[in-house]
Amino acid sequence: MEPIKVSVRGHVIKYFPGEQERFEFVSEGPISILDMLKALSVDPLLIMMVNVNGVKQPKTAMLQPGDDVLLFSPPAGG
Amino acid sequence: MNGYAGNILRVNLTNRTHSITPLPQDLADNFLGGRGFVAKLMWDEIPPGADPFGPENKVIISPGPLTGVFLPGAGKLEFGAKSPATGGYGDSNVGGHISPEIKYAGFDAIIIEGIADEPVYLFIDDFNIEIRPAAELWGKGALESETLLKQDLGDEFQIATIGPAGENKVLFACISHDFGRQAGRTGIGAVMGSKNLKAIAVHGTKTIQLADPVATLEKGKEMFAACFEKPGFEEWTPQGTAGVTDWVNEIGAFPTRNFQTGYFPKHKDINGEALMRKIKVTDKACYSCPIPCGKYSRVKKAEYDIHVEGPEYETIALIGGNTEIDNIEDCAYANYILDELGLDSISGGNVVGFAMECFEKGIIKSEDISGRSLKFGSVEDFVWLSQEIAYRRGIGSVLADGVREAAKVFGQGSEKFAIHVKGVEWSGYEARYAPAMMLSYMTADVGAHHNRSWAITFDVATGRDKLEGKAQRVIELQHIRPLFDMLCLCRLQWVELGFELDWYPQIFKAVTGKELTWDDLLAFSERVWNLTRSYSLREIEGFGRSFDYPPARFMEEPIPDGPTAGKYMPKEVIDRLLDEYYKLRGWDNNGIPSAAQLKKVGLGFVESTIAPLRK
Ligand code: SF4
Repeated sequence: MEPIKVSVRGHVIKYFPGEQERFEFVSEGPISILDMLKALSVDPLLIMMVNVNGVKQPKTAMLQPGDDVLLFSPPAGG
Repeated sequence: MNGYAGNILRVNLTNRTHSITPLPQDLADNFLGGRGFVAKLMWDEIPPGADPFGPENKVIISPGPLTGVFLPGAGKLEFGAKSPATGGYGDSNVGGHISPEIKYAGFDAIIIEGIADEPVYLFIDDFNIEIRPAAELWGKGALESETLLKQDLGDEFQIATIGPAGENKVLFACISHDFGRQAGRTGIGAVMGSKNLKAIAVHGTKTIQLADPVATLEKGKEMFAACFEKPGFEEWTPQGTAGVTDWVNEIGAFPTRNFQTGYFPKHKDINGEALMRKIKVTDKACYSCPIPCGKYSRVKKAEYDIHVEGPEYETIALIGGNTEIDNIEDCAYANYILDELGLDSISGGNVVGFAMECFEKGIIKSEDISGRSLKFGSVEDFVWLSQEIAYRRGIGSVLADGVREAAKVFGQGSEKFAIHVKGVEWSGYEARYAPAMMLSYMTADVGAHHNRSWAITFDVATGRDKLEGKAQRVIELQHIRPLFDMLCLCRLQWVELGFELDWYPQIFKAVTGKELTWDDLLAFSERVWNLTRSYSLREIEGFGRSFDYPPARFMEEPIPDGPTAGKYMPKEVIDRLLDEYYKLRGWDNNGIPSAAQLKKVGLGFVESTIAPLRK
């Protein structure tokens, strides 16, 4: 199964396993972004925005093997 | 001295004299620059008990040792003075392009003292220093004054100005630069106004001595490349900080109706996407910044056609949510009015929201304001009141002293919803269900400002009901973030892109030749944190724990609706947070640093002043 390629942007990296800004997530099949975050023990509220294959998606969107996912930290607001 | 310009400029406005003296080595060695220089020079030079608006108060301006060097975000500048808002320590930071210019003119600090006998501006062209008349600028807006000075002096001059609010000593008057960037907080614009100082114009042509020029260039290039390679780099710029608006609503922390609640149902009409879609013209960056967070916008209506930098998140929160102005065009217009008047948009939106709630509750009556109204959601009322405040007319004169002082005048329970700490209005995060963020606001040395410690994601990540570990994290952040203000670097590359902190000791070594670890640098920041606390202890009678509490609203009123409905932070929780914070800091139960703590952080010289304050 091709892994999902995950990139994390900004300061919430420290709440991801291994504090990695790029990693691969293996799922048996399609999985929602929310469930992927749950599997990583990351509170979805920490993620402000998600891009999947360059397109903004809600956290309820389903991911397919091989997808490129970009998870954004909330900016610190000035 | 590598990394430094090597000089301090002192200007006395009363005598119209100036002097240039070498930067003392021990000041650089022990306090780095920027906020560190400001704090130490304030302690040494402003006499205890000085009137913030008297000749003995000083405006102290300092770039840092990394300012003006080729690395990401090397263009921040620190302003400091005894604050008319807090009565104690005050500083504020601005980006743009003026900080490197001061360095290139040859200065690591500018100390402005005395009071001019007529409106003046300070002209600095390398070592050619003049105090020039500014009668023609007095009364003009901050943006207009910058335009006029640029027309007169040329684009190569960098300008900092005040608006009418500063001239009229409004306690939340800001200093404006680069057509829309402000040193906004703690009322230093009012201190400039009290000195009859309308503006500072700077041009410099000198160079900065570097310990290792080749290593500096190489390291700077590597740092830029590392920024560009960060995931999400390209996505960061379009909305800038305005992009956080929806998220803050999602977590129920968006200041709404004078912090009555934490969720604004119309937030999508004032968010980053609305800004991009409706008003943004282009991005705007500070000196040497690869991630331009500034958004230059235009709003054209029948009544006006304005350009404004922003609104950025804080302005959206305090104008949009807090006074319920529910469309991005009106937020931008109100932003422009505040910028031109020279009012801090955080305090401005907070004070207007407070006044609107007073009107709603009948504390301010229609007859108090010439028969008009002051309603949440009305941009006309917002603009009208802002002008009354800036010119200290009618009720505006009461509100010009900020919500703490206004509530003392209005009474009738208004002090419970005067949302401030230490006399400085609360910025853009409702924190009744965010203990680390609440503690950040309570203990910030300049009053209720988020930039010392922004801990709300830490609250979300570690549990918003949990108190364990919150004080520790707040202290860590209170050392990391203000360290950027000592080096005078922008912290957003780290905060927003996750740019690694390890880079900074490396470039620091290339620039200054000093081999320090990141932890060594943090020790300087802890020293300054204890010094600013000591400064407020020295200056404010009875200063201590009672000044660290949030407003009663946050301790007594549950949030009525939204994702955080029902949440509030009772006083016993606040006390637990404070107890732990003081203990970890080495401060006593009243928030006074112990003798041992002062010694540990290299502030032995403060002890004789602080000792009598301990019970
Ligand atoms: S991120 Fe924003 S504040 Fe920081 S240097 Fe860049 S433009 Fe200026």
